[in-house]
Amino acid sequence: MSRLRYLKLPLILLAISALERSQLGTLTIQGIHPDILLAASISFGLLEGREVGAVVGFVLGIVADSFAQTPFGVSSLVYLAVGYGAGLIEVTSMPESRFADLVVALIGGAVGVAFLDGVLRILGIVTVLSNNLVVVVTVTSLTSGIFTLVIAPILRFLMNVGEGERPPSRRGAGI
Amino acid sequence: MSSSIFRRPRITLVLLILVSVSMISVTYKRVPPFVNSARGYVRDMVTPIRQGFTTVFNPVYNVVSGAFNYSNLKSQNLKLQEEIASLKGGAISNSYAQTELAKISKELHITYLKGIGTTTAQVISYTPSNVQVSIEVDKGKSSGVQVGNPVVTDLGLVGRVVQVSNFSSTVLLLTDPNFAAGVRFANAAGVGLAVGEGSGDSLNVQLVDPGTSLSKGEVVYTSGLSGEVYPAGIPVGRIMSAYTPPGGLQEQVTLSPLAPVGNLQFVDVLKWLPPTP
Repeated sequence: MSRLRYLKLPLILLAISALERSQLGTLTIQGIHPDILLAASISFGLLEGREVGAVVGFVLGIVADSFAQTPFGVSSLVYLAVGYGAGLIEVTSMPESRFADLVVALIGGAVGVAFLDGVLRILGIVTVLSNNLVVVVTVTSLTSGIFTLVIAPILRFLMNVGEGERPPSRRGAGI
Repeated sequence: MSSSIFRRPRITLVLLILVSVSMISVTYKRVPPFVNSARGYVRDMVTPIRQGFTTVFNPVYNVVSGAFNYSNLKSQNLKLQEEIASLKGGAISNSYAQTELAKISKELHITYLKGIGTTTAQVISYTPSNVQVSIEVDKGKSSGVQVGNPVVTDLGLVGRVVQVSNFSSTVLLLTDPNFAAGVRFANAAGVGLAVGEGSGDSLNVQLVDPGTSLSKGEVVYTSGLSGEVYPAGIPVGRIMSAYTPPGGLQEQVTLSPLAPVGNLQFVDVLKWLPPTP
């Protein structure tokens, strides 16, 4: 990763965090909020590999935890696992296509929110999630798929602006 | 971004997991002050940029929100049309409602605004989280807001401040499952514990003695008993239903909040904290 890309990454993450806190983040479908930060973690995993997916997931999890009452670190743990998983699945087994990205995002969204609920249950914390987990998992999975399809090309463009290079191939990234 | 940060993705993963688990362990029971400070810095960094995005994405929000909530909008429209018809034809009931509202307002002034300082805050967003039901307001430490301050509207209790940064605060709404407040009834003796239900806009009142004489529409207030985190006399909600199930050890009471928790624009933060023992 060049120095310029290192500088761009925090700015992009800050923008994603602000976007999630904007009115767009307060959208609800059947009373459920789409998880933009989770979708962004998946997108980074898909584009940049498992390691960057994990780091980005961790940082975005810190942001999510900063606004929530849950113990600090819960969202970080979940998002980093999903970001890493997205990168791992992408580089090891999936063919490179938008459809593959969609499948990974759908699975990642569902696994992420189910994992979050699991961790909170282990900690004995009752949240809104517990009441209607199936609906939350379904909506989060679908919205993560949609958001990833939108976010991934934008991220690919932003990460390569000024680089003078073509978008990196996902094949072998981060291995 | 093909080069690795530590050249070892698995080591990075293990390190980050360890850090996350450590943070959970440290903040599980009690959040240390430095974590709250860190949270505050993150919030202060994100909040100013958020406003710009809100302006940009407002039209997108309206389109998507309208598309996904079309049936809701349709039913709301129908409901509003019915209300207009009812208002046109019901001048008497309207005046009755105004009298009732005046009574409630008067009562509000007597109970919880007397002697308690307030800060009016604007709701800047509903927290986009499926984990908690909360709002963010544009007043923070710089305006004297503290964690634990109750938040109200002129109609009743909204919730309490759970996080504060310099220029914004998070308010846990009374419909969140982690919300709990001791309450008493307007007409009946006895107390209970109002708990949010999460989904939907209702609360459960627990620990009410079976056979307590409660009527639908009766207003429920914060009890302010010793150890309570709200001052006494703040209207919480109206009783929607109350019954004792056969063999039940407590009354099943459901409340509808008086404050419009789904559509808040301005709230008052009460500069009040529970007395320390």
